[in-house]
Amino acid sequence: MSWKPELDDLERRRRLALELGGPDKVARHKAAGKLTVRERLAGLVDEGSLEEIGSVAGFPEYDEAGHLTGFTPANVVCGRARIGGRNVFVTGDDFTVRGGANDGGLREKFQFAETWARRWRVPLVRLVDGTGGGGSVKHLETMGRTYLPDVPQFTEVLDALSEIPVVALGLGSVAGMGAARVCASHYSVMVRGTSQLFAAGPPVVARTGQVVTKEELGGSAIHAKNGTIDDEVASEEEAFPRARRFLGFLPSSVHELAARQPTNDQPERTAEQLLSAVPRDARQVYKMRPIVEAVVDAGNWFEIGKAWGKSVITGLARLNGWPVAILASDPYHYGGAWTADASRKAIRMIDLAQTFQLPVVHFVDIPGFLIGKEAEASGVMRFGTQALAAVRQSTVPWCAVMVRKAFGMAGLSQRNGSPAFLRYAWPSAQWGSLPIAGGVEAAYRAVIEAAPDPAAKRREIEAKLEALQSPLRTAEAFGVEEIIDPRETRSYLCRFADLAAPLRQPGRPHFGYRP
Amino acid sequence: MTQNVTSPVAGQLLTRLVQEGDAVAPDTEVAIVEAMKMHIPVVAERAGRVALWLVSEDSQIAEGQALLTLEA
Repeated sequence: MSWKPELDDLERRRRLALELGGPDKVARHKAAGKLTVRERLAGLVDEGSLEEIGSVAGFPEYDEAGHLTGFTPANVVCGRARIGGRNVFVTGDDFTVRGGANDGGLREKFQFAETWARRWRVPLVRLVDGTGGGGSVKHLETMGRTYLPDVPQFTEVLDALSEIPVVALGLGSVAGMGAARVCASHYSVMVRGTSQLFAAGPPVVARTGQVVTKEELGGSAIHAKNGTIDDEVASEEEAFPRARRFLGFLPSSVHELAARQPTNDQPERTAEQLLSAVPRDARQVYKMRPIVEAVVDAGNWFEIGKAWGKSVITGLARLNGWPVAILASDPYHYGGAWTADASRKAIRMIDLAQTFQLPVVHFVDIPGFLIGKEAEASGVMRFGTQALAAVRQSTVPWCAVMVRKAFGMAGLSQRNGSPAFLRYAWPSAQWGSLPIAGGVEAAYRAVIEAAPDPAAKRREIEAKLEALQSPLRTAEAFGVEEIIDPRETRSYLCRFADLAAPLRQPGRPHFGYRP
Repeated sequence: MTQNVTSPVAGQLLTRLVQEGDAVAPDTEVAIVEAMKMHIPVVAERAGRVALWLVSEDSQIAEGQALLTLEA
């Protein structure tokens, strides 16, 4: 006698589990334009690599004789798999069983799924399509009591952010704990039209007198612009490659270092267009993204958070094969001035770089923090100072390309707290505590007012000071490491990445990562 | 169908680059706004015909304020 009958029993349960919440629920889910949890997992991981864990966990029905008559799987499907050939842990909510709410799941399996990845030091990808953790208030009646809100494994969930890369894809209407599970990640994505995120959904909000649709309340466009999530995409199919690409730049955990990838792009490659990328007219803007793309390894620029905090561009890239984090100013948005949102966005990228030991390259064109009434109302100095603190507290190797302006306190973001920092200035660079135009009024008021022609006097002083503003003058006093030919920027940065690689230090960051 | 072109930044409307009645292609610069001493172009994301200017030159505008209306 073999154990074949028992294996047949196991197989039968596995087959039933594949039916998810049943054909009707699955059809309704797909009619809403969404993929099933199993289609999502298949779209995300390397083909055939998913090894499910807890495949027969769920809610069986037995007849009096103890024969299985029906089976509803727990609404979390999870397991280990590979992405780009590397081990990961994936967990997906099954909306077709109790709307993904936790009363359609098994507490033990959910806790397992949230904690396994950190224990085994592999990245975690969450496919979130569930409502809150509290399930339903109907629970009250069953339990006969209530309880202080707690998620016992939450400490571990947050702790994971200091040890392993966590990616969360919001793939449905997620509220409460589901929303927090999207936000508690290093990289989060929502899908336009089919995913929404909120503290509480429209029925609860309606009680406050606001009648809104799911999309009006928490659609992806809202949250991609306010920084609640990092990026929005047009379809679920577009979300999966973004998750895969993001993970490709990172180590599997903080206990390892990000691997170098072979590149065909020559480190000495020059880019002729960079000689005239910055207009000579100081008021004229230029496009920063093509500059970044011209410098990093071809095809290896991955922008994050394009829709918010727009005066700073953030992303991941490779230089001579080494993964690096990128900050770059966008003069099209307030001339590159750091707003409250831009500061928050910069903090998020710097903290990611510090946690996973990615050297940072900062393409600097910062006229200062944004000034004016709206800027003050938005708390720009609080968030700006936090950003400067994040920069200075970071200890990863750092390299600034001084593209144009660096003025005021925000200009301090050109260097971090690492002893290993370098600044290469383009000839178009200019810097100082104060920009000349505004500063002249304040510093020379008496002289200007006393002159027979005050306007002419002001112009004369400005011209005199502008002549002193050449970066060459600063370089003569060794106030900047080097002035370079913009066309050769790539070779400088590739050598920086080579130098920086052995300085990276694996291990837990000094601070716990805050999502 | 009409659509507003909004300013990505707060500042002063320096120049209108298109006139009412003009057809614009996607990514056409329709105005220049001065902010942080920089001349920042405002771009029409979609194609259309300029139906109505909503603000005059030199006026102060808020971030996200509609500058003009485009007809598809």
